[in-house]
Amino acid sequence: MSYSDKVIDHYNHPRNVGSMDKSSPDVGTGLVGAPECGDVMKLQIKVNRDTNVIEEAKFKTFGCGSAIASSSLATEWVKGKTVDEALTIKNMDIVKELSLPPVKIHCSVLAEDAIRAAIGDWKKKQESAKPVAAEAK
Amino acid sequence: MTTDRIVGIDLGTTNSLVAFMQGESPVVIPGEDGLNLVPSVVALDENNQPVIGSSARRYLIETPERAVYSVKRLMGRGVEDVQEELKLFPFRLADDLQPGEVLRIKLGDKTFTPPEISALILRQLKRNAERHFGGPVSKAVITVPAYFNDAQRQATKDAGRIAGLEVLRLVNEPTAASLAYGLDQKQNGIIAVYDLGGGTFDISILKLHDGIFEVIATNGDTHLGGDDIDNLLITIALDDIRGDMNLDLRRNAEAVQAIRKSVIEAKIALSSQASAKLDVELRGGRRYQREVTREQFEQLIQPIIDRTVGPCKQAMKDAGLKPEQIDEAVLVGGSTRIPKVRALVKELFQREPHSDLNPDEVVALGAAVQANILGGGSVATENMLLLDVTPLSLGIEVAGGVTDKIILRNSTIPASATQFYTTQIDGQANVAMCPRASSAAARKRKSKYSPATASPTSRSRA
Amino acid sequence: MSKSTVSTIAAARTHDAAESCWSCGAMRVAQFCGACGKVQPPAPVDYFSFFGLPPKLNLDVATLEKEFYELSRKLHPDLNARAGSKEQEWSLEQSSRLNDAYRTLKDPIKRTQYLLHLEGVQLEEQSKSATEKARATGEVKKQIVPPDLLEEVFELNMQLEELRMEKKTGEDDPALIAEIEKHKAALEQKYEALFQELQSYWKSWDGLIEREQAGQAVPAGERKQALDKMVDVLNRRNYIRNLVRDVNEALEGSS
Ligand code: FES
Repeated sequence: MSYSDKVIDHYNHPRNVGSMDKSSPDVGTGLVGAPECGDVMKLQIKVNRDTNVIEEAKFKTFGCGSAIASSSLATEWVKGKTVDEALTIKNMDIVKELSLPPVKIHCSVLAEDAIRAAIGDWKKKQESAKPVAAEAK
Repeated sequence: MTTDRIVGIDLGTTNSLVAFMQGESPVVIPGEDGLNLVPSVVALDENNQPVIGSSARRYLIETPERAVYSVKRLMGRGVEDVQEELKLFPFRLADDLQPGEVLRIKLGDKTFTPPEISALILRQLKRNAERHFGGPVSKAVITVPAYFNDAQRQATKDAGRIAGLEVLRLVNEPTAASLAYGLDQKQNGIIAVYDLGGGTFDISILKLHDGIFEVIATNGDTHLGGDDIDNLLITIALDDIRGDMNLDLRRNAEAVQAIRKSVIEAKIALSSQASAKLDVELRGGRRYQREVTREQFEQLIQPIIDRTVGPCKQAMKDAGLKPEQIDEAVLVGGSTRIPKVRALVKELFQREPHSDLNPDEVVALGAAVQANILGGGSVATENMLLLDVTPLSLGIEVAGGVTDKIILRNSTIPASATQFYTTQIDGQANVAMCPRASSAAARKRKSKYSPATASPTSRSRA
Repeated sequence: MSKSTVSTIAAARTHDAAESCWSCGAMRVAQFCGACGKVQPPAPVDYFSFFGLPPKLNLDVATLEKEFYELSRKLHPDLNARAGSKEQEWSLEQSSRLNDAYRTLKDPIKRTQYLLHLEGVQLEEQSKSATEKARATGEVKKQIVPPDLLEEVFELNMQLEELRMEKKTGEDDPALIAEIEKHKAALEQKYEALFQELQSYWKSWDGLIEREQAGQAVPAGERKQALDKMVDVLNRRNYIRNLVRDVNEALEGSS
């Protein structure tokens, strides 16, 4: 009659909720939205500069249960992975793990987007390298 | 009207009626006792023969284990759904019920399903009509609360079938009432029908346009009505008796019935008098007496009648209307005789509500009008057409248990929708289809992210 | 996009006018015979054609309503209750088509969504395919919704959460409420403005249809552009709508 147990577990006990300093040079932030439903998700990663390993991940999602579970799972998965490894996570992996129904696939897409956006943001910071200009936002 | 007679039936929680279109106006067909109302009470007599209506009433007090009333509350519901009802009503379920099984109610040592009991009432109405016409009656329009779900509707149809009636349509009670009113007044505009009966509450908002009755929104509560007021008063009386006389009668069905009778009389009296007396004779020549003023009564029932406010507001919101855009408010159902209820309706819709037609009869009269339309119409009903809506959203349950809504509530019926689904697993050969209906209450969206309190299923999509 | 409201149909634009009534043989009118009034078997037409309308977005709802009532009088099952069983079935189908079409077309947003659907725009797929593309190319996916709107939505959601927490502990922060109220007013304005923006795109779409009707060729690119703009507005509107709803819920009872 409702979501899978895994979704409910993540929903009731979300892992890694919170935020990190987005101006820090080691932190990448992804803020993404699902236009289908109007939900938003923020996912942040903290990367070790030497090993490229994601040491810390935080999220905050305003959205449905599946979106919360997807992002919670995503933070668990990226932790301990290198940036490149994290980029191989596909939304369908999340769908399978959480047994999301077809109508909730876009929620998992949102989580994959968030990972990519966070990594993209971090990479951009690394490229613009040394003098870490405090960004406008 | 030449070939077959189609009657209109109001199968109520407390009373049931049968009506038909006589010439250009609908009339109620009385029973043998000359009364229009057939109490929805069924009993088994000493020889296990069913007794229905007024004559069954005395069994409620004399042999309560052989009688049942308000069975409408159990229509289309499972054991799991009725636990609340069982606390308040002396329904006696069969002992060997399995979860998920259709309910069966004990009368004496026999058991009956709710549709079977309703069928006995319907059969009585059918007999009354046949006696009136001097010929067979086999087709009917039966009314149901607008907020009945599919299982409850199906159970009502089953009852008709068991009674030997072809149920041509189920019509929503408030909509039926509007047909009776519309016939009378012939005008265009927006009307709100407030229907508080014995066991159910409905609110419907309709647009009348040159004979077209278009329902724009409907809402309600299938477990709210005069019964709740009675139960409240009974509880108070029982507490009194326990406190003052040190007598615990809660398990004494006979005494509870006697109190119920007295309470109902007092309730009715209080609609026209400033005070009324509860007076019940108890075992051993003892007597329970208590004076209730209208003021006390109104204070007591306030929480119950306040529960009608939410559905009314939701219906107006769904219709996209403000109170001042409503042209008429119409009262239906016996409980709208209570002055406090009238005052509430007046406040809600900001106008004096109509009750020109007998609120006990208007639904049956409307059913007769619809029966006439289906039978080909007459001068009076020419041009009349009812466009009703689905009160609940309909959806298909998809993998993961999420319901994908495909027809939203308040959609004009008939309605259809097509949705494509893929299989969950590659190579899957079968799919199970699970239609689901959801009520407005269940869909109220909780705060987005507060894991401790919100449930993930509560999220809705507009 | 609420796919729930749009039923999927073969988008045959015009129906065969040369067919004749099954009952009296006269030339048939779309849903019922003009000569004998009999309900006809349903033809697979889109909702606009059902009402005999061109697929334009500016339409007069009052006229549509009148038409709806008139067709109801012909097609409704209650008025065909004594017809043959085939006719009753057709009447049921025709009448549910009529109701679906009316419900969809009378609502400006549903009407727009339906048109997009007819034009083959698959809103649900957009985001997913963009993600797949990003995955393949390694590029950062371009968000369909402008980042500053996302930012605003997120910020306001944070404030709403704060408000809910406070309500739970019984605290009251008039300054916070005032700020949220201010946001809300701005959002509502934005919501209104988006609708007006949408209407302006209706205009360009309708203009395009008119040109087509006059026999002019309209380049596919122009068509796509008009559609894309509408998609974009609807996407943004979804966010604002959710947000306004959440704000209202959070403020409820706090005043
Ligand atoms: S419904 Fe939109 S993210 Fe789940």
